[in-house]
Amino acid sequence: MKKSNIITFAILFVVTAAVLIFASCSHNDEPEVTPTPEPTTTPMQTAEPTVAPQPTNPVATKPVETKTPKPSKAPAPVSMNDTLFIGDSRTVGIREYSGLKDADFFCSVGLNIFDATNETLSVENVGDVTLSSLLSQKKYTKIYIMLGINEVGYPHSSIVDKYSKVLDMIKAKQPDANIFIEANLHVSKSRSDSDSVVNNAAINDLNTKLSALADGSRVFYIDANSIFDDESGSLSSEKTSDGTHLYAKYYPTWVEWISQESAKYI
Amino acid sequence: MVFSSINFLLIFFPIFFTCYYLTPNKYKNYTLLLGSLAFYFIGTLNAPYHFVLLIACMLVDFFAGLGISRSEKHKKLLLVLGIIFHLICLCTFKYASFIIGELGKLSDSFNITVNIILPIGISFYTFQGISYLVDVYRGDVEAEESLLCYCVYISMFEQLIAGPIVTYGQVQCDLHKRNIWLQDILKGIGIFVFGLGLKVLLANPLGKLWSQTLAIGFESVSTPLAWMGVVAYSFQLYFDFFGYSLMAIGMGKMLGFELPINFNHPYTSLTMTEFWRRWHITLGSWFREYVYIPLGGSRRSVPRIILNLLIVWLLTGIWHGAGYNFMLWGFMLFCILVIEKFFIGKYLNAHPFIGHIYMILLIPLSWAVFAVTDFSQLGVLFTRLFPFFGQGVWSVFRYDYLKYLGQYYPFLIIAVLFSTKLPYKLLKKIKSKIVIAVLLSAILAGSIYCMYRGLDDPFLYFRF
Repeated sequence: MKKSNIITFAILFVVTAAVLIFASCSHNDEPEVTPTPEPTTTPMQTAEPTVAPQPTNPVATKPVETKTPKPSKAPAPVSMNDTLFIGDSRTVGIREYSGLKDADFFCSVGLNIFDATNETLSVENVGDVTLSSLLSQKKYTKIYIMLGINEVGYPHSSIVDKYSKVLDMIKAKQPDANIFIEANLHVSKSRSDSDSVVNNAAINDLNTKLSALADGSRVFYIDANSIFDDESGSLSSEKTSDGTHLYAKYYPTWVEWISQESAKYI
Repeated sequence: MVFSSINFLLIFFPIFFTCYYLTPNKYKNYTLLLGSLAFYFIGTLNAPYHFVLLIACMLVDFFAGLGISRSEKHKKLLLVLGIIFHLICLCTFKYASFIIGELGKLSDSFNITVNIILPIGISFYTFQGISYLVDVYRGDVEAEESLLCYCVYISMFEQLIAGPIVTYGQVQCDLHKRNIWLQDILKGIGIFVFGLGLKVLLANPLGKLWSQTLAIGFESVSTPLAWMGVVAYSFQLYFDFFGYSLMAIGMGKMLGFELPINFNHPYTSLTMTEFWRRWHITLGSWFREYVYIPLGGSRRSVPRIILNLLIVWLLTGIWHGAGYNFMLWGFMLFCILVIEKFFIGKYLNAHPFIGHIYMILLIPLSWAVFAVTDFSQLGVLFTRLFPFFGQGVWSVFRYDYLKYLGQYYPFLIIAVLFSTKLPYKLLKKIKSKIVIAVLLSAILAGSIYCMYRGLDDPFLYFRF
């Protein structure tokens, strides 16, 4: 046999053996969860990934008892007049697809709580404004906030801290408004299982900590995951294509739920 | 490893090519083999047995090839066994999950979930193996006596996972002896960078427009946005695959091989017939050489020609994926091609303006069938593309198409431009090496920046 054939056989044999040994070794090892330093970006979520956050290891906490009063009968849904929605791409979805005409929207794809006070965004019939300036110009009776998914890889305590400051600013500028902290919607199970930063354990942990900011008299906490989750507590895969955003057809349902849910508290 | 990834570009590529150019010519094949095996191993880390499958296929081909050329008595048997081996591998890994899933719907005795991961590149390297055995059998090439050369042919990383589908005759000489001139290396780098740019700077962003259309859900998009979505998909698919093929060809040049081109301005075609001579050229050639012609090709009666075309196009459809929509897609192409062959083809060729309009409509529509695997979703998409019943043209979000047009118009314009021959003619006219170097550096820098920002997407054709 030619010399090169012998060498090639040897190479193939050695390499194959190495691969098989590697394969059996990796089956014996415990699978490690290595946190990745950068958050994975999905097309619609972030316009630009910013600083690589330190991912937190979310502690599995029981949902904290919220201080919001339990409703007794189902009241009529509230109207969405004099309402402001603050949020990220999911709130953009509400603006575009819910059919809601009366509310104002201060939202953009990729918005997070740290940028919410610096950003100048376009608000229909108002113009390009910062949040503070918007709150000075218009009066709202209800303000809904959903922020958190874009920064879920950052330390949750600093998120909650900033959120609390934003709430204080809103309360000061809008003394008559009821404020609703919306729980961040889950991602699908397949996304959650494969993403070490944006996953439902982290989202749940953040949501739980945010819910503690509700005081039950002016600030409330509502969680729409109940209508969009599957049995595993993840965003139902039938309701999303990319695992992160609802199909547009569900936004009217979401707004309907928000107005019914809000009526229980105000 | 995707070519358009930081790992490949900044780690594998420089390390491999440094080793390759430092290796004396007569040992370069060893370096190439080792590098390619390392490349494939990294790509199959999650399923190491796929690596073993590749080795097995190469060995089977090598010995079968030798057997076919040396034994008159067992020639045909060895050919048939070799082809069956490849087809069994391909069908098991590619179609078993689908078939069992479908049988499970019919009968409870098949109600098991089979999750077989598709070995990366299997659709390409099995086709190359089959082409080799047939060519040896026909006497078109001599059976390769060097295992090293044969393994390099199949496994060389630049074409292993996504083509072009290279026949043995195209690289046989170069496998044994090749000179690599600096000029070729530089040309190769240029082609590689250009291909990278097409993929990262053009295909990937346009792919996002399609993903956003999917994320919204077809039922909620306006007709203009639906069309924008399928057009974006058409461009993404083209520049993704075209770019990837160019990267393969560029690296082939750097290694000393002339790989065949895979795309020749397909979107300038006047007919679907012409399109499939310009799109994924090596696949079309493979089906022509190894399926259509052995079936008799066009040298038979009209009904037989039609049957031959049907077989080729159904097979082409399912080669692209295991799903009913791929069969439908293949069947659709068959119908279009037959209608063109026997009725409207000559007219379209004689009236280029009509031909272009015809193709501008047909290309995105045919890709829509290819892209959407669920039939009910496909139905919804078509009601949005042709809103003559029910919902009407607009969506709840009245100006959705303006929003996305505003975001994507530069990419759409550039995509249209680069679908024509014009920019390539202009680029070829540039003589100044400095200008070329500056352009390529800009493309490379832009691409690396985008890749770093995490904006690269998995190459669409990897599910093959």
